[in-house]
Amino acid sequence: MTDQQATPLEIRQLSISIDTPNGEIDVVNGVSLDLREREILAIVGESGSGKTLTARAVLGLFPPRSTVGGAILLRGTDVLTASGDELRKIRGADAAMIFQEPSTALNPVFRIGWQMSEGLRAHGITDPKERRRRSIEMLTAVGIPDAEERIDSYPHQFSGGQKQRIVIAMALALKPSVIIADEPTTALDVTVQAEILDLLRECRESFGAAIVLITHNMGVVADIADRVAVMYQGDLVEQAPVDTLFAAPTQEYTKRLLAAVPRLGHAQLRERPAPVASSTAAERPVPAVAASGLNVVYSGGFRQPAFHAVRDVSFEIAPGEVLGLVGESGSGKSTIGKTIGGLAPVASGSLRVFGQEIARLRGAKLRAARRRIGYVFQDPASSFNPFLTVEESIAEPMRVHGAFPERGARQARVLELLDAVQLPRQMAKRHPYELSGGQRQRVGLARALTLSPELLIADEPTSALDVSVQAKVLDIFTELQQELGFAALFISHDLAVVELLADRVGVLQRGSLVEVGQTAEVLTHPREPYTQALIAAVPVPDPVIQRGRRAALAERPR
Amino acid sequence: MSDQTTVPNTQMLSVRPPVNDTLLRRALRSPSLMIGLVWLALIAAVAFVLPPVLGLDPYAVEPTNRLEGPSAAHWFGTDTYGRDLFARILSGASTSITVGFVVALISAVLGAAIGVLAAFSPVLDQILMRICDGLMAIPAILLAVALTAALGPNVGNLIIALSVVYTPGLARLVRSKAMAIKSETFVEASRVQGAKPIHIMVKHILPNTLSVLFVQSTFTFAESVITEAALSFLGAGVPAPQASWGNILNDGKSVIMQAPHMVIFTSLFLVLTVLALNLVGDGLRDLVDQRSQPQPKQPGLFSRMFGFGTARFQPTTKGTKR
Repeated sequence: MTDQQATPLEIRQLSISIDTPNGEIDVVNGVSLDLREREILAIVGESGSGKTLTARAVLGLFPPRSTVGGAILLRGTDVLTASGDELRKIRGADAAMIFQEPSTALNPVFRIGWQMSEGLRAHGITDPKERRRRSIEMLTAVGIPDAEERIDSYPHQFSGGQKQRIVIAMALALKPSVIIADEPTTALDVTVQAEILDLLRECRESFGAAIVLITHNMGVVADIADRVAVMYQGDLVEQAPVDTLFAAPTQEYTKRLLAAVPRLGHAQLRERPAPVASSTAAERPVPAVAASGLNVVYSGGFRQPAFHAVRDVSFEIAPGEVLGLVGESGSGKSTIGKTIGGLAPVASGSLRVFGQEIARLRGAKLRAARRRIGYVFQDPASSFNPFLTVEESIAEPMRVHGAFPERGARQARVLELLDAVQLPRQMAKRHPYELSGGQRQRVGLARALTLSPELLIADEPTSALDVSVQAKVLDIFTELQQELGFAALFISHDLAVVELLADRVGVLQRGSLVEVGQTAEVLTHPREPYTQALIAAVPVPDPVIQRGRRAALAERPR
Repeated sequence: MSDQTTVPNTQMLSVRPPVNDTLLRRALRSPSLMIGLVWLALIAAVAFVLPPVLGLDPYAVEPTNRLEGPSAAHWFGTDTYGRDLFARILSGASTSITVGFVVALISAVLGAAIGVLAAFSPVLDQILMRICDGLMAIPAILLAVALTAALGPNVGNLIIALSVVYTPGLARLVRSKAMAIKSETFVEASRVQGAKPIHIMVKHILPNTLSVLFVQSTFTFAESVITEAALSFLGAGVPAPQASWGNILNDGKSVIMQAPHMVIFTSLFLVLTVLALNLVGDGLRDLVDQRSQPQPKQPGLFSRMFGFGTARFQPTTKGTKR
């Protein structure tokens, strides 16, 4: 802190390599970056690009068995050669970190006041009253209402967004000049994300902190960053002011990365034949799914109130139609998907799948209905049995239903499906853990399509994937849907993704369907205030437009 | 857009164990597992192969040579009836290993079946787990003594008694693991495909519980060997003329001042065998649970002996290289 002329942060030729059983892997190769006073620098890149490792190195945090080269100057002090004591002084006071997942960054068994003063105590503030006063001050600054009382609450008594505010308050407690924010909004809903980004901007304005923001979301970058550094496979690919980067990217990789981002309102209208539904009601085919007044209630267990997950929801999915369901976490969108698969109880109302009440189906009839439904799950890591090969996983529905009894026919079908999802045939013999997330998700799609279902339920199939991988998976999904003509319920929290795929969109808010209609209409001319707020909260991956939107929002009275 | 090359490759850093790092290689790298396995293999080979080859008879009585110390004719000396102690100990080893192994096997099979069933049906869960609670409430030795006393002391009944004692613990363990696996997405995926419960149990749940089952069975093996010895020592296990480490120790106890070699040699075998089993259990646990060995260590004694992977391991120097 003595050298005021020094830039807050200077990274020179940083390289990190990790010693694995496979030999040494270079995860960061000679990255040089500098962070100016009061600047927000975004580091973007896909998983495995080394962006997080670079940022964590600033605090002297390295993965085990790693070798580090180069220099990191934090206000003139080299972090890499600093002793343990010096590092402890730097951490918190000069540079602080905001973590991705607020619910795991806070210890559930301690009150947040205690957790906040932990850092203050480590930096020599011995008076408990002073620590408490400072903690309350920071909580108020990050917008926690009634900080005086809430300081004695436990983490579980706060919402996800509030928890992230508390984590930010902890990072700000000692007024560090550099803040490292590692995907601070990834685990949050869009509306909450907008608030947290506002807060980060405020951190810069009122505390004069320079921020390194790690993210994979180009919308967030456009919204908040001054400068952008793009990383790919451990290399710094490109570094430019945010406007220049979005307007005229110079590197091939950056162009591809930007092209892969789905943009709300930019999707070409899907050229598809009008639904074959004829005009007369009598000839109308049986809808794949018809819900009317659907209520789903999870019973609460011992001395806990029941949870009303879905309230009075009515919608229809015609054969061959893709219905997108959007909403924030806890809005009941996954529950609706599960209910159609017969995995969640119908409390009241009716849910007809292929004309039959799903809640009344038992035994063989339920199995027959399930045969016509395919399911793609959100988490590619846990949706495959680690003991089965890809081939066995895809073939499982055939074994379950006794379709394709001969082994040869089953194998042929598996290879056909692998071709359909554009995976090499050799993958059949691999185990799921040998595949990347995108490949696994394509296997998941193949498994769902094994028995040529008439209805596909896709529960956030791309939310765990990088944008370029997501683009690929969505492409395959669209192609197959048009080719095979199955109806689909596509559940997502990403409006831009839904816009790409869905014929119609339903918007859920706390279990109720607030709006449903043609995709273009709902997303461009939303009638309900909630839908409007949801759309307004999505950051557009274009800094110029985003700045205009922010100005417009600021003018609007809240 | 369907062109594969337009998608940047994102699989660069995979920290998961590489494909060529087979279970065998990882096993060779674990010294405790290998030492335990070598000792067990040795004792099993000696116990089952040596007596017929050397013509050792654990029942041959030489009244003139009672309680003699180790000699060329009797390597470990003789016991109170003048029987060859080496032959007795080897015969006892075969009894102990047989009892321990069969008990571990039976309780593993029963425990797995009970555990998986209990995880699946809430009604069966209540019934089976309350029975397990009841059995677990009684101290192991007491229950085993009571059962053998009721059934009569012979090796078959001893195995039954010990299986009853050790099954509930395994069932508990398998149940909790099965419960965790049941909430994984792939089980849900199988259910929405219309799979029957039996398919899910056999194909998805059971294979994923095998790892904990294996590890715990090894410890059950070790405990059965000890309990068998304890019961035989008390006279409730293997009946008298037949050799068992427990009843040799009991014979030796009364003559411990005149002929300490009886107690010393027998205890040594018992301790080493149980230690070996525990080493195997610990080694297996490390092998199965990836988290407990986050980084590959220096190549172990055994992998160096078999010449695996010595080249690429250099000591790590964490620091700057400028």
